[in-house]
Amino acid sequence: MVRFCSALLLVLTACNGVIGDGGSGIAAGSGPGDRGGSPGPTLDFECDEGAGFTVGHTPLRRLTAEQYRLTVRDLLGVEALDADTVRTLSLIPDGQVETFASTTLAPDTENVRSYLTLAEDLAAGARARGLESLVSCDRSDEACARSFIEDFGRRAFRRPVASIDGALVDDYLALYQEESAATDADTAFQTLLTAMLLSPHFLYHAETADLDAAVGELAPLDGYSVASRLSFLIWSAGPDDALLDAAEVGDLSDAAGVEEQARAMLDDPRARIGMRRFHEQWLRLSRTKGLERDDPQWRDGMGDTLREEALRFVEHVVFEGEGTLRELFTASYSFPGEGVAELYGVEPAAVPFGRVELDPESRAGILTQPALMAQFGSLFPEVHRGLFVREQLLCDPLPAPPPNVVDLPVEDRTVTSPCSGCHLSMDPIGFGFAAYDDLGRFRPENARQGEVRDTGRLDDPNILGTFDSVPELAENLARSSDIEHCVTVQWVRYATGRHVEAEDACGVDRIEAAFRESGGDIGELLVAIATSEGFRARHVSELE
Amino acid sequence: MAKNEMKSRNRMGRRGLLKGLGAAAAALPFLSRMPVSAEAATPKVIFFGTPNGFLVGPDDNASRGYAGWRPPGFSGSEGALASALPGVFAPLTRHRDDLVFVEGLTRLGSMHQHRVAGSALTGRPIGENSTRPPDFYATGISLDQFIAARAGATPLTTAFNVGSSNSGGERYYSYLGANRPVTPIQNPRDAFDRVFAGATSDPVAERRTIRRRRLLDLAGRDLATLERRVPSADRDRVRQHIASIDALDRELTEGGIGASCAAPTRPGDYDFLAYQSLPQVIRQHSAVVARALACGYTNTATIMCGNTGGRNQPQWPEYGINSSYWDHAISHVFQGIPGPLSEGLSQGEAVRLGLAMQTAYNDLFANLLDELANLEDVDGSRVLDNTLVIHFKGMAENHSSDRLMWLLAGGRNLGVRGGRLKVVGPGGRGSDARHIPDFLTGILQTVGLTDVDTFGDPAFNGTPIDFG
Repeated sequence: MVRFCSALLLVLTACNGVIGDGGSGIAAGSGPGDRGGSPGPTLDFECDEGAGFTVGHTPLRRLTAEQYRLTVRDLLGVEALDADTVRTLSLIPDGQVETFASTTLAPDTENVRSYLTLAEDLAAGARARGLESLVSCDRSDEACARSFIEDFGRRAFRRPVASIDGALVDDYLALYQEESAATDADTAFQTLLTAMLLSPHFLYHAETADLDAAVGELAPLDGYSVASRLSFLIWSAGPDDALLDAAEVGDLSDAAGVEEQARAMLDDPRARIGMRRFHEQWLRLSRTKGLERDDPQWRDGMGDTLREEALRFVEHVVFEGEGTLRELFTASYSFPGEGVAELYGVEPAAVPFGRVELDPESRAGILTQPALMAQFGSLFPEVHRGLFVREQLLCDPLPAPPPNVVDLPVEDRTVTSPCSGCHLSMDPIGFGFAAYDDLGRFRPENARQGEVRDTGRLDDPNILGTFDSVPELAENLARSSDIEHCVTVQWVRYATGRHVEAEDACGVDRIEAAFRESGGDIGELLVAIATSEGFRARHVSELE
Repeated sequence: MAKNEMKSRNRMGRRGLLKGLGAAAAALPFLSRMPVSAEAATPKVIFFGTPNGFLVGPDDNASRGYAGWRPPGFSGSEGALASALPGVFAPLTRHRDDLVFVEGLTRLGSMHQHRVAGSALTGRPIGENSTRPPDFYATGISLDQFIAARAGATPLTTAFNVGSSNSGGERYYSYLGANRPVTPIQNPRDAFDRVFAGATSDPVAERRTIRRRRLLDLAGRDLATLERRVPSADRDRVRQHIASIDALDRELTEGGIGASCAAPTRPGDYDFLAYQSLPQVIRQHSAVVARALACGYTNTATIMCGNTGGRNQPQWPEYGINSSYWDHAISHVFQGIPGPLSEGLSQGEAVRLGLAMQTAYNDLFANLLDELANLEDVDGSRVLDNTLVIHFKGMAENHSSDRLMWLLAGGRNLGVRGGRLKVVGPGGRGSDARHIPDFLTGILQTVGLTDVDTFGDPAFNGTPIDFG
């Protein structure tokens, strides 16, 4: 048998020689800000105040399944989302940008059919529960219908209906009139609701920028577009009336106004949902869904419990704790669900997901949580764990493994060319996690010294060198500018639903600087993104 | 121009917009179902895709207790199949004389094996995406769509649970064009309704159809408005959305084949996404597909048994399997190569599960052939005789996709000689490799589209495979 490398080995060409030439997390391009996401020349680009500021292209995107779900919840109430609706929604697949859901493909016929079914079911459900909760006026009155179109439409379309097209209200009113004449007023309202939920103005993140107000290469987004971006960034759902009101009166027309709104939104309980959505995707926590383990300490549905623990920990860090990246990586406490405290070897809290204190010598924030360790499994864990640190925490993507690979002993994998080209940049990091088994139990007898032997891109003295424990690695990471940069990039990807392009480099630098200045405060990072020029504008070339 | 004229032009509906689509619109089928000839049987094609590889390889592996597909003593490039098909292929024995095992196909270039989903029916490499999350798409039209479009039809694209996340391009075999995957119908009842919906005198149903068409019309108008708001780079996608709406509207207008065709039993309401539902879902899709082709609803169809990577767990007691390991993990360990989420699975158990899985897929394929064999075509022969049915996989043994084996069934009236094994190439990457496009072009020529010399990427087209 030809012996290559283990289950996660890497394309020969990209990983030979010096390791980690990429790693900015910014896609390669031809623009002046290209920091090189792949091997090749890296251009220096000074992001001075006077430098021309630009921004990457943001493609038209549809709501992701999760955004659709949360937006519908806000529009129609949580009870609107029954099992049938959730199942139909699952038939419309999301696309991905790195690990974040983002759907740029046009819907095909089957997707349109699913959208139609969803809209019909949601509207029928709303009617069955009583349209009074949505419409307080006399539904047989045409003026009532017009008012509904304007009010509900403003929330569903995330801007005044008439601002999209002067005749749009009349189009919907005509639908009401036809249906009302053919059936009855309630059916007409149900049909109106269906139509609005099927409309592209609901389904797409459609933005309006003002080319006439362009400064340099940036055309500012109008207030409603900024409101939507803010809302989906912080709440993972559409804007509420208050935010739309702010857009209407011009409160989102400058950075100060946006900052004020962003801070208020972060204080809203809905921000917890947005925070969970980001971390679930960034940390790949959905991989624990449906996870099974043949282990005496494993319980049915434990994958969901582990994920919930991780998300509650994130929530606590951001909203009750210091709110910093450092705490996320180094905290020695958690919120284990049923049966999970035993994995830590501690007494469970009085209630599931209650706080427990952990040994700081062996526990380091999110890095040692069972939800992370479990998703990597027990086969070649050093590869998967090291790869996770490389890709998700340092934004240093490695190529996909080549075809036809088979297992190779660790020593060969990291010594023998060509496998070692890539494995040297991830396996040694993973070795440092050897004291944790596939459920995150601390088993120091399995440990061996970890070592980051990267001699290429990682020039941060805090990361280079050996580490004797994961808490030590976590401390190093928490101090590292590399991880601050990567977390910034990951949030910008999430915020924009696209890859971070070379044109975004200066903007990302500024956001990262603000993040660093705040001491790694995650809330401040979101404020910095929200107030950034790139977040509040589009490139003029997209509009011409 | 008068102001009113301007307004009128700006607000043209989606039909008006479609006229402006140019080349893109030209590629669109014009009917949701094809014109039917009363005399001549239409050549038909069905693609039946199953995850991973057949696992067993061409020859016996006596030491591990399973057989390959080659008959004992086989050598050369062509020969008769054994009278009783061995091992995992045993369920196909009853169709032996309609089968051609096509061995020695090679995938395209150095493309990653999981990406074969996008190239299997397009004959083109997938779009490059250097990032690990598998969001990749094909770079051209797939053969099912191409053949259907030539007949003015739309393929019926069906599947069992292809996943909603983390499986990216592995969800799709069928493509309208570059970056235009076709989402398969996963609920058998939806597939049934699509095909067999007929004219009705039920006023409630009539009103529902009128309402749906009105809703689609309004959505189309909204899209026209949206098109004016978005940057030019996004307009093609808005137009594609409009085209999708138009296709659904045509379907509602024309309906299915209704009472003109003997329908199978309408599938009930059950959890069609549950792992244990795969056999039932595939049988129901097969019944609908067979009749859809027999009755002239369309001339091509695709049935996917999950996505290419096999992210389903075979919990099929009727086939002696009830596993919480993924199809893909089982396939890994089968070959002695532990893979993701295969912890605790021994190779012995993986071989047992893997053989049972492949037997199940072949049994479901045989069931589809049964359906086609039991239906009479307009020329009095079996529908199977006028249909090419291809059981294909993106991989061969484990992750090797350089020695692909695809199964061709049916097509007796189209010149296919069954009961044979054909070794069409060495299966490697040398200059004598026979790539997937040679198979696809061979299919085209067998169904009579002889004006097409190549399909997919010209760089991987050699001599079309002759199935005669």
